Order: sequence, then C-alpha cells, then structure tokens
Amino acid sequence: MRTIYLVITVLIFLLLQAVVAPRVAIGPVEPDFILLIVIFLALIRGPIYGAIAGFIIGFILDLGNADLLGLNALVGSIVGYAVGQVGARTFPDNILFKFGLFVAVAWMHDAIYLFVYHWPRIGTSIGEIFAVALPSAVLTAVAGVIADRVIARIDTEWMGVGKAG
Amino acid sequence: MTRWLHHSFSALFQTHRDTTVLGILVALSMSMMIMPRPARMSMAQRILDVLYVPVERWTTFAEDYVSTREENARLRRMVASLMLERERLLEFRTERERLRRLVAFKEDQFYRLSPAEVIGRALDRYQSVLVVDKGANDSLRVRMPVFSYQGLIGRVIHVSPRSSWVQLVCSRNQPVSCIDKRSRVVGVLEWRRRDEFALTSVSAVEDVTPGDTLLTSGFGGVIPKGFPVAVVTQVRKAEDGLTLHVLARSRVNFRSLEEVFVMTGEVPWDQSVFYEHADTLLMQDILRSRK
Repeated sequence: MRTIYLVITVLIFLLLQAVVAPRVAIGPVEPDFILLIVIFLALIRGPIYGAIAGFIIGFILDLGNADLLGLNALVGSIVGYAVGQVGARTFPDNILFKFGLFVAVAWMHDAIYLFVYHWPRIGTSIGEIFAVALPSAVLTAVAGVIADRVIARIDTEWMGVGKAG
Repeated sequence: MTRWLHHSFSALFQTHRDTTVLGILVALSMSMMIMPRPARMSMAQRILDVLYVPVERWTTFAEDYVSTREENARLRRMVASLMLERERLLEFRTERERLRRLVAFKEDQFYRLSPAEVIGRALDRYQSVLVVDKGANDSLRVRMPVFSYQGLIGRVIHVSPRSSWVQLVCSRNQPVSCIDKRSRVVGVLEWRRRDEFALTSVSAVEDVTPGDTLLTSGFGGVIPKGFPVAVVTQVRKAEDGLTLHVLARSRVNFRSLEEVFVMTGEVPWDQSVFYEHADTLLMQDILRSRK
C-alpha cells in the first residue's frame, strides 16, 4: 500500500512538472517538481535511498540530452544524499524552516549543476545562480511547502501514519 | 589480492555505507561525463531504445487513435465538399468531352492509382529514394509516376515482386517539365536543396510571378499533364539578362511521406472504379442519414 502511494506521488509530481511548471514559469524561472521527488524520497527514506533516487531520476533526465550524460545523475545523487543526511536528524516541524530547507536544497542543486556545466569557466555561472537559480529555488520551495502539507494531511488522515518530513 | 580487495570493500561498506554508496554513484556519474561523445550518445540511445520504445509504442498507439478520429472528421468534411464539386465537374466533363469529340481530339482518360505505404528510405545525401510496399505483383512498373495528396513526388526506378523504389523529384538529375498554371509558361523544374526547386529555361520576357502553381506539362509522355509539383516563391532576372531565375517550393513534405499513390494506368472515365464506387458510397450515405 505504501509503495503504491509512493508511486502515485511520484507520478503526480511528474505530471506537475510536465503540466504546471511551464504554466507558472516566468521566463527561465520555474519550479522543479522533479527535484521535489528526490527531496521527499530522501527525507522519508534517508541518505542511501535519496542518493540512489537522485541518481536514477537524474540519469533518466540525462538520457534526454546525451551531451550532458551523467550531470543530472551526479547532482541528483549529491542532493539526495545531503537531504537524506538532514532528514536523518530531527528538525522542527516548522513551515518557515522547511521553506528555508527547500530553498537551500533547490539552490544548491542548481548551483552545483551550473558550476559543473560551465566548468572550468565557473565565472559565467555566477549570474545564472542569482538571476535564475535563486528565484527558481523560491518557486520550488513554495511548491514544496504546499506539497509537504498535502502529503502530511494524507499521511495522518488517510494512511494513519506520521508526517512525511 | 582479490580477497583483500573484497575484504576491504566489505569493511568500508559496513562502516561507511552512506558515503560508499554516494562515492559509487558520483564515480558512475563522472565516468559517464568523461566518456567520449560517440560512446555517450550510443549508450544513451541503447538505453532509450530499451526504456522508451515500449512506452513510445503505447503513446504512439494512443496518439494514432486520437489523430485518426480527427483525420476522419476532417476527411468527412473534405469528402462532402469534394462530392459537391464533383457533381459540378461532371457537368463540365460531359461538356468538354462533347466539344473534344466535335474537334476530333483524343478522349480524356481517368487515372488508375494504386495506394502504397512507405516502408523505407535511402540515406543518400543527393538521391532521395523511398521504398514502398507494392511491387510487380501489384502491376507496378519502372517509370510509373508517383503522387501524394499534394501532387507529384517522383517516379518508380526499380521494381521487385513485393516492393518498389521511388526516386523523389527532390533528387539530382530528376528534371520535370512543368507549366505555369496561370500563364501557361513552360520550363524545366530542377531540384536545388531541401524542398527548393528552380524553374529553368524560362525566357526573361515570360510571365511568371511568385505564388504561381507549377503543374506537370505532360511533355515526354511519362508523367501525365496537370498535376501540381511546386509553387513559385521568387522571380528575378538572371545575370545574362536573357532568362528568368525562378525559385519554387514543393507543397509536399518529403520527409514525412507515409502513403503515396502510384499511377498504374488510365481507364475511360465511365469505366473508373472510383467513380462507380463514389456513387455507391454517396448513395449509402444518403440512405444511412435517412434512417
């Protein structure tokens, strides 16, 4: 039952990325629902699961552009691992804390991606990190907080278990 | 050595499981990133074939279902308007035949078209060739002209019992004699690149303007007269001042051809299966709508 719930959640996030993200996008700035899958999986299941999920999801994204094969997988596994480490520790169930965590993770994800992508001319990525990655991270965090509340509600009311994060 | 490696790796995995997994994943990702580009491309292609092809098959099936419904509705509308136009043209045809008989011209014929599905394409840069699923067993012969809904696309160059090769007009050394539909100026249409053609042998005093449709002239007797081939896009005087430099574009998208029609012969109008069949279909539709 739990696995089916997980699969449905992942599918919903994929659907949101395909349908909602392009509609709420402001130019290149858009929420990253696929990153939210990695974040939630890592928070729920820990660093190993997070790193593996990040790697697999990143690798599938990389298949769409073989020129960058391995880049999304690398960033996904690092972010999945890092979030899993945070999730393993107790942290306050505070909406502002979670918002800050989502912003930090999403920004870190994009920053690593842009650094590796522009390597060795990392100077060119600085502008994008602030102009695109930061507002995108805020949008992702807003979506993440909403999703977290929905997941927590489903968990407590329908699944009869504790909160997701 | 192997045992020592195995032991060390097991110990590492036991004590630092998280970081070992992360290390393996990072190493895997980086090894993919530093792979030579052709190897990366081929690896991605192979994985895509395994992962996406079954999904793609189902998606295509769903898309086909939706597009077939839409196409069906569009074709029904087209058939309705063509049926009305047909009635009007039949009147003209009768009148024209009567006038041709009066001046002792040869009687007009209706074309017998054999539909064929495209089953392959040659990858040569300068020779565009299609392979279709009809061959000698279906009465196809070399030099037969081939059409799409939008007009002439080429001619049959090789026939085997069950398939044929069609050389498209967008190939080198495949000139087509054409006539301007509006001004009746005659020229030779030659392929330049992609879907761009040039109409050559047109004198500078001739009347050709952008937007004119170029039809097959029927000269040479291989390709019948009156089928659209291209639309004039640009006209200017050539540097010699004696001829016109006419560029034209085909209305056919040669890259996405899926079904074509091979002209296998001619029959008198009143013996055309299509016309008899069209009448039957029309009658069936009328009867169905009255139920």
